[in-house]
Amino acid sequence: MININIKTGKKPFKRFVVTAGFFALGKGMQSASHFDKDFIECMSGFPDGFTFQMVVKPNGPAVVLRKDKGKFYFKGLKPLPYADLTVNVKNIDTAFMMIVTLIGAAQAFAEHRLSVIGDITDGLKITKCMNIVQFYLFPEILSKNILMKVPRLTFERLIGRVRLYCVGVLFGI
Amino acid sequence: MLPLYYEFYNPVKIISGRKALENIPYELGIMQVHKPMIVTDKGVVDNGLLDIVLNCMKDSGLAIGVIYAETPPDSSIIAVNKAAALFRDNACDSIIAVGGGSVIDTAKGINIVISEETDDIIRFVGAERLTKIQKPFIAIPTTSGTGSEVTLVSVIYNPDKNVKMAFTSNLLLPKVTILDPRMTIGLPPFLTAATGMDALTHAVEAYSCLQKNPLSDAHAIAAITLIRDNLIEAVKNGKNEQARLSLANASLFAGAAFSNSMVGSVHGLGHATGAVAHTHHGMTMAIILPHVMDFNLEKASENYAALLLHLAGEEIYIKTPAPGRAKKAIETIRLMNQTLRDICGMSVTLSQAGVKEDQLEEIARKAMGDGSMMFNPIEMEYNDALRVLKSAF
Amino acid sequence: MGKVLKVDLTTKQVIEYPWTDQDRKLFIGGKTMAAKILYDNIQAGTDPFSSDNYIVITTSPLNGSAAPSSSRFNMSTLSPLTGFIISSNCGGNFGLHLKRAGYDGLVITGKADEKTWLEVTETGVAFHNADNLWGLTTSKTQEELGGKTGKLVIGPGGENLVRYAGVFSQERTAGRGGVGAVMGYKNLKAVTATGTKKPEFWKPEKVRKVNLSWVKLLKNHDLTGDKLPKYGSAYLMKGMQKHSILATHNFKYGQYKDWEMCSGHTLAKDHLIKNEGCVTCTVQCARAVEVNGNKVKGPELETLGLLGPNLENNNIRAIIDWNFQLDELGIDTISVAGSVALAMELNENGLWNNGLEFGKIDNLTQLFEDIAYRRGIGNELAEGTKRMSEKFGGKAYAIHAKGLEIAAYEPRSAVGHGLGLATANRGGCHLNAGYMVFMEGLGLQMDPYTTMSKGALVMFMQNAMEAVAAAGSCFFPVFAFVPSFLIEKPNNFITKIVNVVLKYSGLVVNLFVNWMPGKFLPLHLPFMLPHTLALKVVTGMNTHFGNFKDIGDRGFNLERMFNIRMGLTAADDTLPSRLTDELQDPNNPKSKVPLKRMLKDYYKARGWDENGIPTQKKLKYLKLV
Repeated sequence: MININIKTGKKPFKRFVVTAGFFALGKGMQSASHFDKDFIECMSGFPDGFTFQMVVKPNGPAVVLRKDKGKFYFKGLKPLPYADLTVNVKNIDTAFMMIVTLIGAAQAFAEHRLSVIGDITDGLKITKCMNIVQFYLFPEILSKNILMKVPRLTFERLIGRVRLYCVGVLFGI
Repeated sequence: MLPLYYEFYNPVKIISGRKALENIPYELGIMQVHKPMIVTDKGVVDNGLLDIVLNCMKDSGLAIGVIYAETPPDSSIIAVNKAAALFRDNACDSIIAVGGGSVIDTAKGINIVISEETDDIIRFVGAERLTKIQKPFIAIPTTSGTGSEVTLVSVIYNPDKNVKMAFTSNLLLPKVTILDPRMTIGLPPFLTAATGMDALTHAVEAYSCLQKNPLSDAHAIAAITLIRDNLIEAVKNGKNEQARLSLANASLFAGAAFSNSMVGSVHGLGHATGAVAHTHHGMTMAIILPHVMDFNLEKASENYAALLLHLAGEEIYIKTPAPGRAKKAIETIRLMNQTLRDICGMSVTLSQAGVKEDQLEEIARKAMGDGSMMFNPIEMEYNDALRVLKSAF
Repeated sequence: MGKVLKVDLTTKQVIEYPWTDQDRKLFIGGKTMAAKILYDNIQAGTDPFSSDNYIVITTSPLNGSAAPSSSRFNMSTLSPLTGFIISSNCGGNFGLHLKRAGYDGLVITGKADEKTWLEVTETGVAFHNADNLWGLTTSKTQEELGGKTGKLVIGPGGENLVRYAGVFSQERTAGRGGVGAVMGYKNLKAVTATGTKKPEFWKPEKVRKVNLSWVKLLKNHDLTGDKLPKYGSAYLMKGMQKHSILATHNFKYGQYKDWEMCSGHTLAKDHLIKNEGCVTCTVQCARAVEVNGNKVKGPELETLGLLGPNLENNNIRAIIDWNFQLDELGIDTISVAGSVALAMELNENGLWNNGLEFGKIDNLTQLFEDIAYRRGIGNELAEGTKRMSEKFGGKAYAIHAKGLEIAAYEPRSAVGHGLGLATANRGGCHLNAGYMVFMEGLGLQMDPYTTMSKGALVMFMQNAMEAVAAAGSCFFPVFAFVPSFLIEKPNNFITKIVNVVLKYSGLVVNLFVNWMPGKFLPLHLPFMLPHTLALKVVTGMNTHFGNFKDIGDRGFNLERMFNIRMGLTAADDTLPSRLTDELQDPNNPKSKVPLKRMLKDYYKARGWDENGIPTQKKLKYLKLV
């Protein structure tokens, strides 16, 4: 059999999940930067105007965030040509695994599934911020897979989780 | 046990043994280059090691484009950019690095600048973002510690921000590395001990960190066995060629191991200590290693128990009951530190190394920002780091 | 939170032994910590008299916290007497001095090539030649060492490897199991400790408050606040005689006609100079008496019982003198008395002609010297009852369990205590056994002959004693477990109900305590184990009742696993046949220890299989695998 000019197809389901997950993550980070103490401390290391994006290669969705006036703002799902810190995910499958908590960011870094354009220490700080949001978004049974240390669910954190689910992901507050 | 997923990459050709350096012209020929730039530092020149390398290139018809001998310790972005400009101005086509970790890292940095056709290396900071094939590069280590000749990372100091920047990419690996006992035979006992323990730390951390895999394990074990059998001898009797070559190999294996498996909190804390208190890298690693191992025991005890066989030998391994092997491994390392202290005065506590107690908080804070902390078997928070530092004080 | 030092006597190397926070959480300190260290380091087949044996000296968090009755430290090793683990507990200030030097424990191994004593200070360990100390008695050695330091010394008994030689500190002893002999084998004459570091507490203000309320509890209790301070542990002899648990004539009988002449009351009336005791203790149990014009520490209950009624001796003056002599020689009084009683009975039965007779005491002073120096028949007696019975016969009345001589409580009138003795890890030790006599006569009076509920209760008491020892506390506060009025009024209606309820309480105790995971019992009980609260405010760890009893269970199982590695089987959970087959009272068919029946219940309560081996499930729960 000889075939020429074969188009490799798409992975629509995975794309959908990753896009939805990035949306939740982006809005979640925006929301958490309004109220969570640990998150605010984590992002205090970045200057105002700092842009961060996580992009799925080769042509996948992205999540773009920008720090303004001390808070993170979700800036959409299209990758920017330039950002202060870009984390490239090598393929859509890796992104899918991260979104559904089969693998955490630290493990993904260790397995060379991500590349960083920008200072690697910034990448580390962003990972810590993302960990906090992922703890809020997922119940312990899932976040055990991706976080090395799952913080205890205090009453304050429970309220945070409710807030994130109800208004955070939708409205970003 | 196989991990669910791993990547291992080590394409470096390793040439090790007597008169190994004499192969340089041949290797350059295979790579079809004939005007190398030699990157080195003042220490290497003063100790006559550069002359040995130049001698080995006699009778080959090669011309050396430029010799850059001003690499600062810890390297520097300014030096890299300057040296890259020299490379271009003299139409060189390859790089030979002769020196320790910082020299080899500088050479990797120069290679980035040249190959990505830029004039400022800072534009390419990050992990796995390089795309252009790098110029042919031969690494000749003159210490038996860092293993940089087989690692995919280059750490270069940025004087503007007063931090070290890390560049990682598989493309940074040299094509060839040459281990010749003449390069390390003159290393004084203290440096031999410190760099040897650095290599041991790499191997131990590689065996217990996040991306450990069977190949990195094999390299780590090979490194540990060689260090166990040769470090004390090399410190006592520096002229022993076999011991020197064994340590050089051990350092290379350890480098290959951790390059493919990551390091953990020992390096995180060690880097921070070095940055704040200016202690020697290898010695700091040796001091902190057993204390971090104590901290990691809960998760890493199986790994440490397996290492006991290689750290202490069969007899002690069999004589120690299985539940006690991990702790015995830690004891063995402590004993090694103490023996080295007795022979050449290497410090075994941070206070002996010159660290002040009020610096510990700053060190812990700085360590939190270090990438390696992420790959430690147990996540270390600020309070944990401070406690570990206090117990190592 | 001090460091743990490992000292190798062969190579003279001293390094830090890894002891992590996780270890502290699981094993607290004391004998449990020591058991873990021994379990991690001693391989199967090790000879107790070898350089591969370890001596582990451990302190506990309550040492130095001013908690009442908490000045105990522990020495554990592989016992030359039993071949299993021996954890030997001792009072006094050594633990405090070791903590002041900055160390929570010392792990000693190897064998010194010359006679040595160790000096432990804040900067490390110094090795000194001990030629000038070798051969001296325990008190002379301590005098020579001088200074305001904590001291551990051995006497001629330890130097000559008497299998039950002890270690002495001030006037107290880590007596049982031959730790002194192991030190003697290693050529280690003494260990001293000095330092100035202050122990750190989690909540210092709360520590004071908790201690004060605990002291109040002890002072208001009839036993710990009145009787025991007045008469020492010897007070209990009255109850023992009453309930027929006073070992007499090598455990042939349970009562002695002249018991009053050896009792605590007589001691207090005729010989006591004053009470003395450990720092911060409210009981002050030591009886200071006069020997040869000097004020020395007098005998406690076991010594009085075993050198008195058990040898048919009613001369308390002799016992006082022997107690001092044995302390000076560095020998455990319980084991030596048990060995002498066996020798007397062997002579009586014509199996060994040694000139020793029940009631004849004029040759005993010389005999004790001979034992310490292994001369003549002393050499045989220095081997202990197990080895003596293997050589000369009389296994039925060689009163030991696993090779460790049994203390003065006759278990045929307290069968639960018998079960405890048979299963205790270090052997025939009444404390490691759970001290069930407290439930079966000396404190409460549950049916002493029934086998019902004994398995469950023995397990609970053993775990409690284990946890209390790990915390660094003395045994005396255990007497306050039970509310005072139940003890003062044994014929009270409520007391009688409690005694009956105890008989049927086995299943409830198993379900709600023994088998209940600790995290479901986050309580701090006011009278039972007040150690839980004291530990919490000192360490900040979650040591509520549930976790505390789990720690005890963990320690007990750990020692059991160690023993199994050393060759223990279910066949070793036994008592001499005099106790299991002969009736103490011919008219009472129940007056023997029905061991086999109780063992089944006991193994079940413990979560062990029918061979007495902890199951994997149990070990996983206790985090021992």
